[in-house]
Amino acid sequence: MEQRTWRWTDAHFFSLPSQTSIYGCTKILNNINGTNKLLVSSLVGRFFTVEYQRIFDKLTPTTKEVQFTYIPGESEIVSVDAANKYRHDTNLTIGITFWKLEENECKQFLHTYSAAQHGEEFNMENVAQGCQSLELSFMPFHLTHTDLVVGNYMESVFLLSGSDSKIHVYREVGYRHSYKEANCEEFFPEFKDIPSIVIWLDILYYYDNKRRITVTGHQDGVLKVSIVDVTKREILQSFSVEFDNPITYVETFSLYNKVSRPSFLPQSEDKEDDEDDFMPVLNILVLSALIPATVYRDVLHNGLRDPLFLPDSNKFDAVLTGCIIDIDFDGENEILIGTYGQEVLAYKLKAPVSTLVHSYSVPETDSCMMSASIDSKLRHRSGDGDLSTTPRLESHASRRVKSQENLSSSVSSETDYIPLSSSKDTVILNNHSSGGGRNNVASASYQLIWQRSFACPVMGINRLDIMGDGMEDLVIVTLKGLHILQPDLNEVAKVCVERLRLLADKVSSDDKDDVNCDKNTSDESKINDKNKTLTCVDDVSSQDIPNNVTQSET
Amino acid sequence: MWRTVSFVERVEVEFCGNVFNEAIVLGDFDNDKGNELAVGNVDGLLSVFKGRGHKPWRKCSNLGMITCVGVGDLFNRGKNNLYCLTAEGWFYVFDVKNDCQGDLVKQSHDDELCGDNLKPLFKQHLPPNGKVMQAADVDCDGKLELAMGYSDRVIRLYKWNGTVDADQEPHGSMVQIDKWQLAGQIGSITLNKDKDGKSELLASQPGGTYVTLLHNPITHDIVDGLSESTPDNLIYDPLVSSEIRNMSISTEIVGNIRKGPGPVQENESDVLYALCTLDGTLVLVESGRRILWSLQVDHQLFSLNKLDVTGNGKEEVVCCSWDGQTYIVNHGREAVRYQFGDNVAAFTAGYYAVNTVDNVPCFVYATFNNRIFIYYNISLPQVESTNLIEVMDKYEDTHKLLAKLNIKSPSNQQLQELYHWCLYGWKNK
Repeated sequence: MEQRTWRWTDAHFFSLPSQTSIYGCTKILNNINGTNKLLVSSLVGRFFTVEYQRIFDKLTPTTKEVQFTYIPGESEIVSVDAANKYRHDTNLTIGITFWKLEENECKQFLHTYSAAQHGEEFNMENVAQGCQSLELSFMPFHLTHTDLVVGNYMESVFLLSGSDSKIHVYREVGYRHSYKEANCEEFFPEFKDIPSIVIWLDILYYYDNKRRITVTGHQDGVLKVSIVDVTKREILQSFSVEFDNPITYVETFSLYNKVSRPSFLPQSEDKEDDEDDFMPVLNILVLSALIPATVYRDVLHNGLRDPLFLPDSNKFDAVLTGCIIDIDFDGENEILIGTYGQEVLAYKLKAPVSTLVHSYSVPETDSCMMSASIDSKLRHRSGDGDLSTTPRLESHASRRVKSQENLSSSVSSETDYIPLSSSKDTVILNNHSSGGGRNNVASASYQLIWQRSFACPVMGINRLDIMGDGMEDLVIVTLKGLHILQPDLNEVAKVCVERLRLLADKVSSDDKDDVNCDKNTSDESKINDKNKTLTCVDDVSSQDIPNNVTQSET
Repeated sequence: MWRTVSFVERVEVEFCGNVFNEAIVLGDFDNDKGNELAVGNVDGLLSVFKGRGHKPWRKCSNLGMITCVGVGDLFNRGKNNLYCLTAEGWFYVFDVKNDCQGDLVKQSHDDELCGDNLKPLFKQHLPPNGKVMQAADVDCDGKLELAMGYSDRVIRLYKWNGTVDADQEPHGSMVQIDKWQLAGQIGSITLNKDKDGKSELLASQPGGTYVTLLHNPITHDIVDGLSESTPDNLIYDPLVSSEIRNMSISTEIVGNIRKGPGPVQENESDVLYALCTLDGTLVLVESGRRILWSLQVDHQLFSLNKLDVTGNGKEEVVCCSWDGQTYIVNHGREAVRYQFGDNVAAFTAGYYAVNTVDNVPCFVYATFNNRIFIYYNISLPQVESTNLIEVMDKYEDTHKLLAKLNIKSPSNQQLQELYHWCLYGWKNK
């Protein structure tokens, strides 16, 4: 691959009057005019929006303080979240949880804010006025939102994890403004019987919103993954692992971004990517405070049996936050990790392409697991077969090895986890069980490709097109401020022009051949790998095009 | 709102005592092509820092109250020397050698004062109370002269007169060759190019003004400082700017700000100079005394430098205030701020070899807490806030390609969608 070095530098820095938390920042996406901004809260109850505006035709970063009503001065903000709800119309709702001391008694609240006037839905001053208050009987933790699919329509609901080891669901009632706690088990069967406090939760819908994968990271180190049939509202599969440390962040992601072709472009004759909607390749990033970040690869096929570790990610104090973003514009997402040790680390999966775009003809890996529509956690705990092997690796290895059978994954990249010789068997077994075409899995590893220090502990990493140019900027939230990072735009522009040129050439040549214009893979071996795996590729043209690109790039 | 950035990577070095803004300099003292940092304090300690070392690499103590430190080929032998001037009037020249002089190191290490591993090669007593110093080849003879500004509003120009023998021992002295009597306190002296590309000296005067110092060795009559008329070897430039609020405010000046990329030309005359005042006015001036822009800030600007922060060949104006607010301003008046986290005693911007070999742009902050911070990862792609749509717009190819793709006068949102797809959706094609 052509080595462009991408150096992301500060486009802007905004310093906060007091510290923020890992729940203190949320994106506000305006789906009416496409401008995005960020809402960040400081602990003492001050809120700021950061956005870019055109002032005298110059792009200017602007920060505004937003006065949310009915938040007492002495309260401490826990979490904020912004949801675009669309049950009744397009609207923005902001949820804020906080607590305060009242006569030596701690009281907690969830406030939701939305604009009362039509047409002012994204005017923050207006939104901040429309308050609805709910008193909570528990200490709030992570506030997030997800879609709730009821029949044919969807609505946004707030999810709030609490100190009572429950996930609370807040659903809009009536026409507007009022939110009420709903029975979470009715809609989210996976939230039944949660063993401990959830620090972070992540929900991803796939298969045309018919399925979802729910991941919860718990305070006592438990990671729960549930695959849910949305229409039937039943759990198809669930996995659970125990880490030694609290889990600070979880995210389900795909290695590739899906972006639909702009409608104004000449339509391509290329077949749409024949990605498997039913069983897409989804990976889970798990950050647990003091051990290396873990990626469970292809969870839908493998469960939690294919972990990869991000080497040295535990060398910078507690790992607090993560982000999935393509920082080098090669079409593959990288993993960014933010640590209390003031570092942001970016990891890239280095693996033969064939292992990533593996065919879905792989037999349903492990029959006992795939068929398990009931909670397989029990099996886990009982240490039954190789199901339990990998997931329990961390807890055992990082304490001390209790039973050697569990040291399956051999964690090639992480020196902290030196596998015992006996573990080899398990690795081979894993490869065997995962079927052909994936023998290279063991050679895949994550490598550190970029690292940046900050002046303060990193509390959050967001990807957001805050500049309004189609490129996703990085927004790093540290304890004392907010950094908006951009790569060198001239380099990005070069990539963009190259791709537009390829596109224009293709359009003008009126060539009906399907051309694989993936210029990034100039490395011969990778091209070859690609050709083998992408079925729709015409061999000759795909060989030619990338070579041309190589020349033009160098 | 201003664009703000945050710098993190830095080298922290220990250095006690108060530092004058003129007594901190980046330069290649040991002639190994990599720059070092030299700092002198009011207690007579001169230290040289190299690379990532936290402790002084070379130091010399008991020099007096060091007001200025400089670097240049003073003896005209093709090698840089480190020199400093004290308020008492002592002028010291040092030969900083790459290998440590053994006999000096041998002295006891436990006593701080005896740990000196640098000794003056040459010293001379000049008039006292010098506060600013600028090396320049004013008479265009290929040799360096030194202009020294004094607290009694006098600037004297000195030149080395003598030889350097085979043992590199200098024999001779600094000789005064010119003198200017100014009306106001001298803020700083800088070197600039005049219309013909000749070097000229400028000295800043209170109230955001400056004088051009004309060097004419033939009419060598020293003007009486008490006379009412302006001496004929000075051109006073009031530099009328409505932004100036206080006519007696102290002012700094920096000249020879390069306007464009390319190698430095011999008679390059197209340069800019900038002035800043303590009450927060920053002015950029074109040759021909046309004010390009002026900028008002709420901080007390005391140190003015130039540095090519973006690497595009144009030198930006870098300005620092007492409370650590640092401004990087380009020729188009676009500015970036950086807030250093402490009060600043002295500031300089320049090149420093963090790995002792490669010079990289740096900001150096001397604090009042016995620490000096060298920020070495400060280069920025551009000064202004910009986005991909604006950058793409500057490429000629973009418009051609868009036309080819039949996208006519696209809206911002269309471009946003297109570029987003180009960057992230490319594989799905």
